[in-house]
Amino acid sequence: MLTAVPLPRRAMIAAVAVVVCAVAGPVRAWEKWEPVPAADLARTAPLSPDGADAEVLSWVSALRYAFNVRNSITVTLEQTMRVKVYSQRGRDAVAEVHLPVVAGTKIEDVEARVVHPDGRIQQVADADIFERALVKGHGRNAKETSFALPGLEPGCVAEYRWLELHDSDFPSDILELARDLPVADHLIRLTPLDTRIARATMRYAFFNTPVATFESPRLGVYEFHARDLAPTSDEPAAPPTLRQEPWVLFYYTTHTTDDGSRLYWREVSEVICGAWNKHTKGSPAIAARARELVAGAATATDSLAALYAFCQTQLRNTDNPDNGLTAKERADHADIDNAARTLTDGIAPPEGIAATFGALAEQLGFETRLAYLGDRSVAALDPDILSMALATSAAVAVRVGSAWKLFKPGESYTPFGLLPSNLEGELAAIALDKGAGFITAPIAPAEQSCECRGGYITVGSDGSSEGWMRADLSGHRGEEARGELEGLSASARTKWERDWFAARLPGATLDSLEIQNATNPGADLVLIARARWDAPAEAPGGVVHMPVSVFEAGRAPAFTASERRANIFLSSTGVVRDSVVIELPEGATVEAVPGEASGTLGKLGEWRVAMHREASLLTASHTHWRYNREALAADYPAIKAGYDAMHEADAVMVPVRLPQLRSSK
Amino acid sequence: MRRAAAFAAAALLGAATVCAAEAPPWLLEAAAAPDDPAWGDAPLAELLHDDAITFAADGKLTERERRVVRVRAAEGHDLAGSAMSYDSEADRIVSVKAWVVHPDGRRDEIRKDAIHDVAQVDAELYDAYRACVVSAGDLVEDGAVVGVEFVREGRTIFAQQGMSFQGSAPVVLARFTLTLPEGWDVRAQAFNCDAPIEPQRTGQTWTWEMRGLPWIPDEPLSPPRRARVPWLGVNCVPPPGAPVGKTTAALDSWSAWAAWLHGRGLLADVESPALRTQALQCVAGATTRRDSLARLARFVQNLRYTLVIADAAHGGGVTPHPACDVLAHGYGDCKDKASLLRTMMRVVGIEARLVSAFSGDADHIRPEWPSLTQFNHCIVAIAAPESLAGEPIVRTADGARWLLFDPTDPYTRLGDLPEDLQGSFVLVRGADGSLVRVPRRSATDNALTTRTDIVPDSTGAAQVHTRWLGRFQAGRELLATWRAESPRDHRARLEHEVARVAPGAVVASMQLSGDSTEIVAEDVDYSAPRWLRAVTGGRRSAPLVWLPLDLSFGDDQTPRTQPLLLDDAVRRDTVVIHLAQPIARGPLLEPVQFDSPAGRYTASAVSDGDAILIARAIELHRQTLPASTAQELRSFLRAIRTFEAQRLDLAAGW
Repeated sequence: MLTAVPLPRRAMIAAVAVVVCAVAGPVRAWEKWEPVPAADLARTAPLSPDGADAEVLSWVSALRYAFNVRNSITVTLEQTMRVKVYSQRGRDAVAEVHLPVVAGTKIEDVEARVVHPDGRIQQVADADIFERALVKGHGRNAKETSFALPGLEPGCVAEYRWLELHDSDFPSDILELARDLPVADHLIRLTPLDTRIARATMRYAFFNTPVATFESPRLGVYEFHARDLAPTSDEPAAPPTLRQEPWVLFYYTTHTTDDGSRLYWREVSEVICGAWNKHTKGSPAIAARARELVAGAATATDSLAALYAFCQTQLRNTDNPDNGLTAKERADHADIDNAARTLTDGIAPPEGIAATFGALAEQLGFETRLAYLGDRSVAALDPDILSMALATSAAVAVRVGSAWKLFKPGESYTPFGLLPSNLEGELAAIALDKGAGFITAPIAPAEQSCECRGGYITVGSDGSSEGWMRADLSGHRGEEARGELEGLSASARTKWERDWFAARLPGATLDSLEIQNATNPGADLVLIARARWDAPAEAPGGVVHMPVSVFEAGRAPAFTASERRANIFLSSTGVVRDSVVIELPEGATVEAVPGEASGTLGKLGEWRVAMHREASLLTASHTHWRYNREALAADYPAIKAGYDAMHEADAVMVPVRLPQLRSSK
Repeated sequence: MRRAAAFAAAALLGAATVCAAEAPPWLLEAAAAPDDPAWGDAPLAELLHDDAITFAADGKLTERERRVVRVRAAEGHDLAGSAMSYDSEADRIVSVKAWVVHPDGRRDEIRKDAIHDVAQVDAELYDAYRACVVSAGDLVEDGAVVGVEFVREGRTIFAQQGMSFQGSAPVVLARFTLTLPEGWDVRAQAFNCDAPIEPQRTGQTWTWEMRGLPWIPDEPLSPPRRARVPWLGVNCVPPPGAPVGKTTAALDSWSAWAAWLHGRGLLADVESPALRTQALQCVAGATTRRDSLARLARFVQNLRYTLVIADAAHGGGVTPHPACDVLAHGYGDCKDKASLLRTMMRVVGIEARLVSAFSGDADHIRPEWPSLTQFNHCIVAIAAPESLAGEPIVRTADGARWLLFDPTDPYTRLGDLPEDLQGSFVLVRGADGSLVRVPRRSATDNALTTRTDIVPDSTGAAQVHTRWLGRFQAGRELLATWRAESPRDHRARLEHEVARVAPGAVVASMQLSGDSTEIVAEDVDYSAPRWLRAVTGGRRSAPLVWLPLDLSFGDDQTPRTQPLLLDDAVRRDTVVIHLAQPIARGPLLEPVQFDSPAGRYTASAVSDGDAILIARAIELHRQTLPASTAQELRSFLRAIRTFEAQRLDLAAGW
């Protein structure tokens, strides 16, 4: 399926003044099916080296851009798929085809057939192709065309083809090259707008595939073969689709010279600067408010922190369901307004809060700009791509000294000094007066995002134990937890907290649950619970076992599969740090406690586990640093071994002999 | 399920808008109901559910449904909307209106941009079921009251209505009104009601009401809501001899339904040369009648399941496609597959009938209310002479003996039935058909057993072999996972299962065998580099279990209010640790036995000198337990977990 990239309106600058000099011709009817080669019908084993229950032998995506009579451009994607089925499982995976399309896109000329190994052909009748609206009404239309492939059995080849059409004034499209089956050959056939008519030129960029270019076997048509594509992966901790799977971005630009990149970003920046200046326009009242807010601030950072705290917590964010806004107030303030009105009303959408932060900072003499960033959970920004398609997020850039710093005050729970974790390490384009300035968003040190867990557990003479457990979540850990708590009622929050502890302390009975600072991003989120563990039913020799890592011992290792296809992608940087004190009953003896163990998790992290004994107190500690990096699938065995070693160290049990228990058993 | 899917889709639809307007009196009257402390933490309360249906003799109907809810907590915001399901081929939504009464007294009418028409996408390739959805989540705050009124017009041949008085929210007033043509009467059957509900009759209008229904929170392992909430089954009964057109109004007994359905099914009993050839080809070489049956059954079972429903209002949902077409397509739904099998059997001289059933809950069918609306599935009854032994056999009222088979389930072989059909009522179609109860296999019949042999080495690593043996439905599960998962995914799942006790364990080989009704075996070889775990003092410990029990009675922390519905489960595991050096014979742990209302758990660990034998067994019984037993069950689970978390402490150098 072709994904039209939604573009920010501001980016749709007058780059293409499309003059309709020619119009698209009628969409052609399909030619006859190409015969399926005998070798493909006879094939009994997949071409894919990893094996497969079904695989795509050939896939043709013919993408055509043409002017139409509606004064815009028609984007046509002809898709033809030839799939070989090798097993019953493969049959079940491909037997039904659902082609969903969003509003504005049409699906036409669907044809499908099954070719049996003996050459017999079963065509899908028109009556067996179903179209229905998934959603209708008020501009939110989505449709689906569905059909089942008749008589499909292992050995058969299924073929189906269809057209997707949509109109666009300024096309920018993503074409994914892989799918859930291995693909032996994916041919992309491209017919861009005629450059003799269009004032813009098509550009394309390949991602996650070796450097590739289109060949032009005939005038005006370009072709590219992607071969031997692995199926898309749904493994845990896999990179986001656009960061892992192969895809192509198509877009048009008027900047075709060697200096095109600079000129494009200058043009974009001018438009963005104009909008930013409008929304951050100052006034004496704003200046007075800014001075009032930073009264007592000693440094530029202190001043920005004061403004940030005000905007984040005192302006009511329409995206935050917990700030007491009525539905009407949210609706009335759904659109970004100027800073003066936002300060008067005290209500704004996230973008309005960001603009108000910028306006206040400007009044204190800071230079502010809007920055566009890639998103770690989507795709990275690339300055060589003259399109805003990859600029999926925005932040306020403030010049502090000689450096630009980025802020997101419109995010209700992102602490001052941090960006949301999905923006850390991403390239940012700051819209300056004379062009874009590119910087890399900083990655906050792991220690700033800590899941710090502790507790004091008292072991009874019968082997039962109980104690208070506590977790302090800072930085991104607190931000994520607050995001999960957002919009929950009091009882649902308690359940969330119970589940949080239960996942880390399996087998414990929990009560006296308490959450502190659930909505205050300026302080650590604190979770408190009382936990109780029953005495063991059996304790041979009066020995009970205490885990070295109370919070981790009962959990499964992070990675359990011996094989892996996808890279390993950690989404954020942070640290988990535990310190739990276990008080043993009088007379308890411990033969020895393990020493410190530590290791690395490849480039993804490090860990240290230890237990110390002092009189009747055991102190168990576990520290795990994790970094927002991506490791290659080839490194998986070593990384998994690292995680397994950490799990093993966490799960070491210390035998504690309880004399009273011994005599009673 | 469909309703939930519609709401989920609606939640993605985006913001809606309102305009100030007066709310209708019925809404304001309902909104005046005070909050009830008994509602507890319910995020939403239903103040009024008023469903009025007018049914005409020719099958035309008009339904007006009013619903008024109060939002009580954040989780109730997205539930505040409403949806009316309809069949787009037979019905149309005539009008939809919705209002919000805010806690401060403001009253708004919800604009049309909050109303969407949504396909009720489930597992089907295509059907015409849709929902008109009013989304109100963005328009409300805690304490707001939302009122919605739908009017639907349509046509159906089915002159029966099932009316539930409650979803899960607490209810102040639920009302169901039925208006029938002159001379018609109603016959109503109430379910899950403490006392009979008598309707009020005014002319040709009957009204049933219930008030003050408590909240039914969603809790894991609860019995289906239909088994707990009060509901009515209502038949519209024409006067004797009155014309009923094409409606099914005259059908008032199971035998009448059996005959009517039989007639619909016969429409599909169409063979073709290809079908005939295929049937004969299937049984070619079969030496016994049972062998022929098994071959035909397996052929149809291997056809792909694809659901296409058209013309449901006129019985399309219960009328199979012609058997010859199903064979040509190579796919079909449950009734298509059942019908094809019936026709293929007829070709080879075996009599078979279609059977209506309910898949998903063995207690779903209420025999007191003869109604087609209770079924969602179709299987086959094969004429079984007395000489044909085995299960599952039923006898219809006329004394005929039938072997039941479900051709939709690709893994349950002839001679067995899916677990959720066992013990249920099914309707054997035919002029002499009847409702019968399917026999249920004992839990022991469906037992799952494992034997694991572990050979450790001096480094703490171990070579491990596990043999799984599953009988009947336990075997079906082994077969289903083996077939449904790719080898890669299957291996990953097996490795995940043992990762907690043996991190880094790798599946070296896996093999399924015994693909039969009675027993299926799977053999798995693992290499476990970290099976023994370091214990301080140079000692090592071994886990007591190789395959941790995945046993849960739902959330074991939150207080329980709903009964628990447990299924049968019998599992026996044996672990044999082969020792390099003999150790003293005798018990290593005192045998344990934990009993609970759910069942029994036993375990023991003994040394026979050369090996340690650890045996574990758990037997749970199918039953519904009161919520008050939840604490006992938690203690039962905790005792098992605590016991199984123990490790065998082994001397250094062992």
